[in-house]
Amino acid sequence: MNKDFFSGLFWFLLAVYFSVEAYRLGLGQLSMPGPGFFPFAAAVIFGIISASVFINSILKAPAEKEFKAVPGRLQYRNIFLILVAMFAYILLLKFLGFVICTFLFVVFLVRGVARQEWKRSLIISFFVTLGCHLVFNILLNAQLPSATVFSIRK
Amino acid sequence: METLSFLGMGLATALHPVNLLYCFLGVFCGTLIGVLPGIGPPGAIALLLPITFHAPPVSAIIMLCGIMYGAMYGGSTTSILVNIPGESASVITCLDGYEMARKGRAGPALGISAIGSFIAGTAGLCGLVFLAPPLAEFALRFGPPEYFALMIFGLSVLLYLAQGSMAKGFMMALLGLMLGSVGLDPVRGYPRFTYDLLTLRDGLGLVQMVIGLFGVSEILLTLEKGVRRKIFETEIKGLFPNLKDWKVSIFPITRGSILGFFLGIIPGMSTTIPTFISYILEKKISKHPEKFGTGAIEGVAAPEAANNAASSGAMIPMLSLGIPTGASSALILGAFIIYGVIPGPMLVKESPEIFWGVVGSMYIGNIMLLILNLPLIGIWVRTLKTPYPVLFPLILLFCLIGSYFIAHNTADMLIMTAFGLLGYLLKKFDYELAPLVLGLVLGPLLETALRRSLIMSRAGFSIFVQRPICIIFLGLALLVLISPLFTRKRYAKDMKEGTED
Repeated sequence: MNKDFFSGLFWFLLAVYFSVEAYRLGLGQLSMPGPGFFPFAAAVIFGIISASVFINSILKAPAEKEFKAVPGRLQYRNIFLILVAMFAYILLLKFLGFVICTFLFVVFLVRGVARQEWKRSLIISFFVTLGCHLVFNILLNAQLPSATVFSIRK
Repeated sequence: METLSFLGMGLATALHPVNLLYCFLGVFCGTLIGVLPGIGPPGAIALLLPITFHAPPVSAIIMLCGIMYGAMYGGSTTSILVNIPGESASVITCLDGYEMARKGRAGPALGISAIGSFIAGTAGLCGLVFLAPPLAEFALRFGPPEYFALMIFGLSVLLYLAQGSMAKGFMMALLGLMLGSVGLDPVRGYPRFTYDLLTLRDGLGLVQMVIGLFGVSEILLTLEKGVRRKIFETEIKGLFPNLKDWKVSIFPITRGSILGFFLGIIPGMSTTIPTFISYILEKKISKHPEKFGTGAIEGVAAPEAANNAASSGAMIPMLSLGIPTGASSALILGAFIIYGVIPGPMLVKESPEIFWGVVGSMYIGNIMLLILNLPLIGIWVRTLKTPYPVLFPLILLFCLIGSYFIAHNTADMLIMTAFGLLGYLLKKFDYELAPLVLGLVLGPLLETALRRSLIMSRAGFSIFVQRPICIIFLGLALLVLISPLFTRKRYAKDMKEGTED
């Protein structure tokens, strides 16, 4: 059981799914290939190689077990928090607007992931938000969303 | 003579104040982002690409080229000062560059790297000026089958040179082709894999994907190890190498330039391999090979020159054939297509102002890079010292804003974030990203070429073995793909010996 076992299996399943979907798009004839022709060919070759990676991982598993893994603890917590923050940012952007979202996003990351003190987090976040506002909204006129949640809707 | 008058026209285009400004902005922003550890040229180009959308195509492309070599230069700075290569082409620079910095010779290391890059860039451009037009002329004869064969050749070189397993590299290229087929069918406009989602009709979007793959995933990889990071404290004084440094470096720079340029032309080669080969070559022919790895200035000069010459060389197939050679040039090709400019033989013939303008601006950009880097090195060092708790939220924000900026659409931000996670997982499972990006860009081109060839053929795949140019490219591709069975081990051993001991 190693890395290749899982990734190979995953890719193989993806290849099966992709080739079925491509097949349903229509392969056409060799003289007049349909829209599914190219993705189908790519997915089939992809599937064959991923199967070989997968099978190889089973065959050589005991001999080459990965001993070198994990030099010090990996902080998966950070990865999780960052992804949550990014998805929350995307979701809230339309409601809270660019400025408020950015401020909250940076505070969350500096405080939660980099574990700085509250005061420092707020100061960093303030300046980052100010800088982004100046560059993107005023200098580049990027038309980033502004808050809709506070405006009165009819 | 015609070439010279065209070059004059190109320089005039590049010297137009607006283009000059875009070139400067590109070089400046590129260096700035290149200096930040973790984001290499592909990430930098993708991040800044949306900003160029409002500019006219020539200016936008000039700026993107500026970003590319700016980021490459910035990567060398971090290699020398912090021992963190900003991108894979400057991995080799770490070996002797960082040792020089530890011995208090950071200044000359940075200086020779800038000057070496400049000389190589200039030489590379001369080559580009004289080689690209005839190549384009020749390529006018290419039909879809020839293009298909050429792209297959480029992909197989990339796979051959992949650092990890070739099977995995191949898989990534294929995954790129598969993901690249999301959206409208390039030949008949039939929607594929769109699941009735409007966003997916135009495909997943190259820029969003690359920002995620190269920007977000790097942050995730860094942060899984915690936030702390050491920065090497050093005084930088005396940027100009002394007479002895010059004597030692001048021939390595020349050799590095020539080697880098010709290797750079080969599709799939990218800029990393030439730096390795030039380092190994210098070490082999040196009178005192034991000094390499302990701060030998020629160990900085040669690969830096090779690196820069290779990126000029890479512009030849990119501009005259429309075939990218690595992740960065693939992205620039993607940008060309976004602007509605199709690189290839017709570009040189029909829009010479774009082709020569870009070439001219590359020369101006090289001069700017030299001017920008020697006196302003202090700014880059200070940027480098930005505390990570400030830096990583900023980079993530840029990724988010950059992907929103493309079409003012939050769905693009979602795609970007998802590809950030994908990039992180791929690296954790030892898959490479460069073949993936090349596959994404080449996907639609490859598909169009294949389908048109088959339509032309009326006899299936036999068309590929009936045309001589096709046979040559496909034969070479086959040779490259089966050669590892015989040489792979020795090649890997050479690399190891050359870099480690």
